[in-house]
Amino acid sequence: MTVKKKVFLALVLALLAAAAVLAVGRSAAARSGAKDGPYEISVLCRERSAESRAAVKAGIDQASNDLNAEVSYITLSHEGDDAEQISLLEREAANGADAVVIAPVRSAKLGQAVKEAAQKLPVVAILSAPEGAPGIPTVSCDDFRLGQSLAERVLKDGVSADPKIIVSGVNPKCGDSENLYRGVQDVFKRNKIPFSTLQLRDAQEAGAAARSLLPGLKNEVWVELDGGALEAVGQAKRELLKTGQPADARIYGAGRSDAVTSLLEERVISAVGVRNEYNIGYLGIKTAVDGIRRKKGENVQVNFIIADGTNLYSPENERILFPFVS
Amino acid sequence: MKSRLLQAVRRGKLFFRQRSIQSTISLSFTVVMVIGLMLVAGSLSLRYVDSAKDIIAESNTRVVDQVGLNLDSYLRSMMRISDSVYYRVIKNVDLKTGSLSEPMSLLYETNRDQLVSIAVFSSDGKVIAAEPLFQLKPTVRVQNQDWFKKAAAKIENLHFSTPHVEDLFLDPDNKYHWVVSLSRSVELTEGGSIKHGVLLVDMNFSGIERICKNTDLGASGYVYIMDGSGEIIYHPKQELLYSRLASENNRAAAGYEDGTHLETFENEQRMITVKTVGYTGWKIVAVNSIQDVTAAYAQIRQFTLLVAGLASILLVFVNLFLSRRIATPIKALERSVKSIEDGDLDETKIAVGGSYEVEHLGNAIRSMVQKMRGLMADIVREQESKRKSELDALQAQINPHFLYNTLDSIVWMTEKGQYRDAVVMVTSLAKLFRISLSKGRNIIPVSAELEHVRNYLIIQNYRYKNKFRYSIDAQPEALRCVTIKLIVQPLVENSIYHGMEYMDNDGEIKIRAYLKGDDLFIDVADNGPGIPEERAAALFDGSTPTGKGSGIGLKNIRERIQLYFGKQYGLSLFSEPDVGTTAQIHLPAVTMEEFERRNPPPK
Repeated sequence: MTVKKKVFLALVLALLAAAAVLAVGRSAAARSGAKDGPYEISVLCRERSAESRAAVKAGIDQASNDLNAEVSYITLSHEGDDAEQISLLEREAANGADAVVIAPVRSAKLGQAVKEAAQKLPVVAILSAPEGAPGIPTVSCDDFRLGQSLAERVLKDGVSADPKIIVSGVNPKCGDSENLYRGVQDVFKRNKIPFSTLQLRDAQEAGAAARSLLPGLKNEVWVELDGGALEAVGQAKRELLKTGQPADARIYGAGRSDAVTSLLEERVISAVGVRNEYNIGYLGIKTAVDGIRRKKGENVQVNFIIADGTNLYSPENERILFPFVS
Repeated sequence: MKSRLLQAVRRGKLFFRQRSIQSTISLSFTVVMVIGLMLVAGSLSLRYVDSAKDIIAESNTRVVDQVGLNLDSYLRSMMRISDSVYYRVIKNVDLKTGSLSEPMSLLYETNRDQLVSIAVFSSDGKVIAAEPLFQLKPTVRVQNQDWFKKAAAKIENLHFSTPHVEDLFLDPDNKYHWVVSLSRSVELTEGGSIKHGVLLVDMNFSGIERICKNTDLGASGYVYIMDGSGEIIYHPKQELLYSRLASENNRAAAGYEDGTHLETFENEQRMITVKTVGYTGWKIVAVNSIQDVTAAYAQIRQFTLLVAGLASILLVFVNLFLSRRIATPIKALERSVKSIEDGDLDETKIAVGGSYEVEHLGNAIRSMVQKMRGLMADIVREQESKRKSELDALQAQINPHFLYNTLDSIVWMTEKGQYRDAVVMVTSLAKLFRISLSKGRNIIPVSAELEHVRNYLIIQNYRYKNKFRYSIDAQPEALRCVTIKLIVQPLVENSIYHGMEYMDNDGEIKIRAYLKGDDLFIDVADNGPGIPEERAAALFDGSTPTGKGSGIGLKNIRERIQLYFGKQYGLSLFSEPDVGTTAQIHLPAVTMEEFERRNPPPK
């Protein structure tokens, strides 16, 4: 066999091999599905019900629809129970979820568990970063900055020479609540504004506290950092006003609900800081899907607004305050 | 450009000129077929994608038309509600004596699925009637609302707003609704006088959403609605658009005419079908990603390319096989022609095969060679015959000196009275002449040739006064064989002239005819002084004059023998100085009968 013939034969064999590899590769890719979904993603909530975060849920649902993901919501039987969240995280990782999106309870143990789970599957934190797990991609609002903005708004609206400010609703189990508080604290401390904090167990207790405290607060400020408690405090002030009792204290807070918006519109609540929670939900799932697709996840910060009775219906605020949820 | 093209053509011609017919055929066939195959595959693929695009465009148009019909129907029902409120309620009620609430409430209840509220306002923004809620929010300034201002500005038109949150009435349930507002200026009757007001119908946005949501536009296709200026009214990812997590090319699409368009948005090619809804000026836009359309056919395209690739490889083999089938007989024929050029005229060696044309060509060349060979043989035969005739004629000449001397000797013998010797000499001469004639034959029996030589020797012996002796010795079988006429006598003559002249009565010439196997040999040996080797060789090529003798060279004798019997026969000379010389004639041992049988005389 001449050299020419050998070269020709080698070329033909190479072409046939390439064709075979292409064909086999395609059929293998077809068999494996080259996973374009559906992705099984578990969303670990830190509350007892996912409905309490309707906007986050709406974002998650939209993303799961857009990105071909099947989402399972897993709630805690006791709000803020880090041990339960750790066991749920481990269970989901072991049960073969493609990724986990977690709204972490503030706990060092959970941080460690998240780090371990992240070695097995993509884990994305939403609302706040897990404590002690800095490498975990997190989709959240800059709550410290939100707290600062809220406090700055309080100061902008004016405080008396000897102000009496109550800061309430700090949830030590929630990183975002903690950051919010630190932001508020930072501004007040820098401006040498004294304030006191109230530790209340739930919205009901906040409502009761408001009913008893508000009549005594003349031209002072109540900063309520918990969404549910803010509604209760606002309702308490509204009731006081309806009954003709003094309730001059200005109420500020974080979080949104139709009732809060209504109170805001009625000027019962002076201003609220609202996170773009829809984006948190959507981007949380998107980051998880990116992780499944082997894309490096990065921390994402969503925007927030400070809304009051005058700018509720501005196009920008309207879209965050009234999520387009079907 | 033209010169470049010509240059490329020239290069191509040169390239193919330097290639063998096989590689030219296989290369050009392969290139042409592969290009053809790829063109077919490519055009099929493109056609496939084009037809897919057409199908998608048709599907888009159908969906857009369907959505358009539904939306039109929905908007018309809203307009009918507005008309009903205006023409059946407002026009029929004098506000001074009557109320709008009850009939409006009835209308609202009838259409509550589609409506959020119906309200009539006075020109200064006061609520005249409203369903289901009546109390305005204390902070609301109706006159500042867009829908109010538009209705007041263009009183003859109905005005549709973009989606917004309804913020007019106090809702004890704290509910907020996304609505699209339909507003119009109305004439209110109060105490018989007419004053202007504004009728507002807030449509539940979910009605529009329902119309657009369940459209079948494939996995990634969707429908959205915008107003004439490109403001989004409905989009399946409205919240994402509001959150800036997604974007839409609505501003550009607002400028599109109705129909299907191709656009590139965020590096993605999309097929857009636009339809304008009558009256509102809203545009329904169906969007489909071309990438998704083509991706659906990517597997088919890849399969087509794979098949085309494999077919190309197969074609290479087929072309090689075919070109080999065509070229191999041509190459073999070429080699045959080359061997003909080299002088090999064996027609059986000419390759005949391959396709009909090549086979025909081979047969033609074979026939041509055959004819050529025949012609050449004829020429050779003619030349040989001519040469034979020349040599025979030359051989037949009697040396005049010999004749003169013989006759002179006879005269001298007669004068001296030696009649008996004279008679012998005359008799011998007569026999010599008779054998020389031999009835015109050139082939005679050895016996006749030796008889001729004997007579010659008798004559010469008289002339040379018995200076030499001679003997003629022949096997009886040899005598029956044939020889060429007059080939021995010149050798004897040479022996006499060159060998015996210097002998002093002791010269000897021995003539011997004998058979050895199938060959006949006639030796003429003398004991003369011999011939040097170089001179002996020169005698055969005719370069040395013979001097004395009959003048017929040894060369002629050899040539005659070879002309008659072939190159393997001839004449050899063996000489040794001072010993003698032997001239040996080599002939085939053929009897006269056999020779005549083999060479019948021409009729």
